[in-house]
Amino acid sequence: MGAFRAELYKLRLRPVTFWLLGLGALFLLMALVTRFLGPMTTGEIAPAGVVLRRGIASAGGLLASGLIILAGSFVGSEFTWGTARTVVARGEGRAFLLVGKLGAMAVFAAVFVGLAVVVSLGFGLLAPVHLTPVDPTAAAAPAIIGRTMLVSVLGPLPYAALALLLAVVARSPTLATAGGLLYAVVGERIIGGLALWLGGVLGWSWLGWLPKLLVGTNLAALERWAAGPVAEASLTEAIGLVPVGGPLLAAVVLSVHLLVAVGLAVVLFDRYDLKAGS
Amino acid sequence: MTDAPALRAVGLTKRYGARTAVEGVELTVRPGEVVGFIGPNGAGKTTTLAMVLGLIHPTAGSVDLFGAGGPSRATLRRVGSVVETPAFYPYLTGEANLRALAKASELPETRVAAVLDRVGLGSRGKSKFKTYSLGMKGRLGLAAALLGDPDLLILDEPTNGFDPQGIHEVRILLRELAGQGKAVLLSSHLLTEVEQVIDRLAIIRQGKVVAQGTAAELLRTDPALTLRVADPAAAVSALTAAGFTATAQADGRVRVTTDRAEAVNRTLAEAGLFLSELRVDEARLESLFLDLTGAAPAAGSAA
Repeated sequence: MGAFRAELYKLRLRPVTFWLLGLGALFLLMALVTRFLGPMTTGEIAPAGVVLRRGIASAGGLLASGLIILAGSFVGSEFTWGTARTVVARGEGRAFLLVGKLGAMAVFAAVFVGLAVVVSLGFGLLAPVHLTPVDPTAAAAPAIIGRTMLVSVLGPLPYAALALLLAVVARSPTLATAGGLLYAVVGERIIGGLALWLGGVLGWSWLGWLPKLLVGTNLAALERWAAGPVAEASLTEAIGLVPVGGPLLAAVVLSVHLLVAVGLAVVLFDRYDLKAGS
Repeated sequence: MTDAPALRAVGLTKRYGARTAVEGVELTVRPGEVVGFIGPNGAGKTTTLAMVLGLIHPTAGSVDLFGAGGPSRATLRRVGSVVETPAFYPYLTGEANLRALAKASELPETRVAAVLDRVGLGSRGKSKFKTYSLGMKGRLGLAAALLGDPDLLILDEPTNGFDPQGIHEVRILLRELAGQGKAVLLSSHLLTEVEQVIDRLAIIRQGKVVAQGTAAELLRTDPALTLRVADPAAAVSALTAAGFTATAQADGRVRVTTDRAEAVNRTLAEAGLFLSELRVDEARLESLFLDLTGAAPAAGSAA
């Protein structure tokens, strides 16, 4: 608990935290403007709940990148500054240190999504969006918005865990952030595409399953579940990967990703010699 | 349990591939004493301390803290340390850095202001760490080490970058802590910086402890006199005839292995030889250190 409190305290005082929140809010606003006020959507009637859900879902996408940057910087800097040594020499368990950081990042994710709610509501109220006076999905809206918030907070955590693992391996914030972003933005698509193509060419059906195990695929499946009856086609199609199974299976796969990445990071960190300057 | 040493390292060894950084180090620090851990740069001091603190995994050997086992969350809570360069978060103030450490270690944050004052950083606690001078960083490292009111302090070159006043203050602080029953292990490559404050010392060279004990134990040598006369050869003859062990030195002086200055003076006067200089040879810790570590005097005293 001490490690978590300390990490939260440092996160609160760290400039990058507020840069990420500010940039996230700005990008979210831009996404909402493009979606609801852009030239392709002129005159569209948008239920109020859709604006809010769309904002929160977009925040989830932004959050994945934000958490990768935060995790890479948050953990990698401990090595470049040598502060990992200071903390561990005081008897803090190395696993507690990493789990404390992950916990602090989960709080950051919740704050980020909370900010998205504020931005989306503000946009819905102030922007000239043609909202229907009565939301046709009003009955389902609270549940849908709640599910979307849950997915937006929890979904990006496996990416954060991957960046955390990369930071422990590379002992550098730059390499961890770059590697994490590269994987999330490009790597998964290449792996998925390659597996599907090779599976078809070689006739290896098991390769067809590989894309379904990726974080992005399962995150898309969860997003589809969160969207419920008002699912927007563009939301799931934009992912470009084949959604698989139900939300429970997707959640399990994402949890496994999270556990494997954090577990590996803990094991590697535990075996590292934290020499002076490391 | 109360008689257990604060620190006992047995056969501590660290190898990196074919290179042995530390080999078979035996080290004991008891409550109430300041032990110097001295050696030239690269001798293995920091590696040894890092193994004691659990930062580095030993290849062989063991560490026991307070008789309660190796470095763990429970034992390290009673240890305060500064290992080489004090490392803190540059974007936080000195005070915030200590608060973060206190939160992580679940220590009362009420001690933060007190330890900042104790190390002379009370007025700069609100400044960001990245604005600190080298000496101020060292002071903050010391404050962090004192934060948990530790029973064992492990300090690696703690006065690096300090001004003479700061070095003096640290010496007083360490003696005060030892007086309160705290154990202190003080590592340095500068013997002159620690010899005034230590009770015992261990000298490390090329990863091995080559001498250990109190200054008196380490300097236990035969007493000797050095004298100057007009005819050194005649003086050696006269002294040898009188039963002394005397040798002529290259600089024209004569060295006599005895502490009986009056008898030497009388013997020479009876031989018609009169002294122009007579002094007692004092065994010096620095000479011993230089002999044991093979360090050049200039490097040893100027580094």
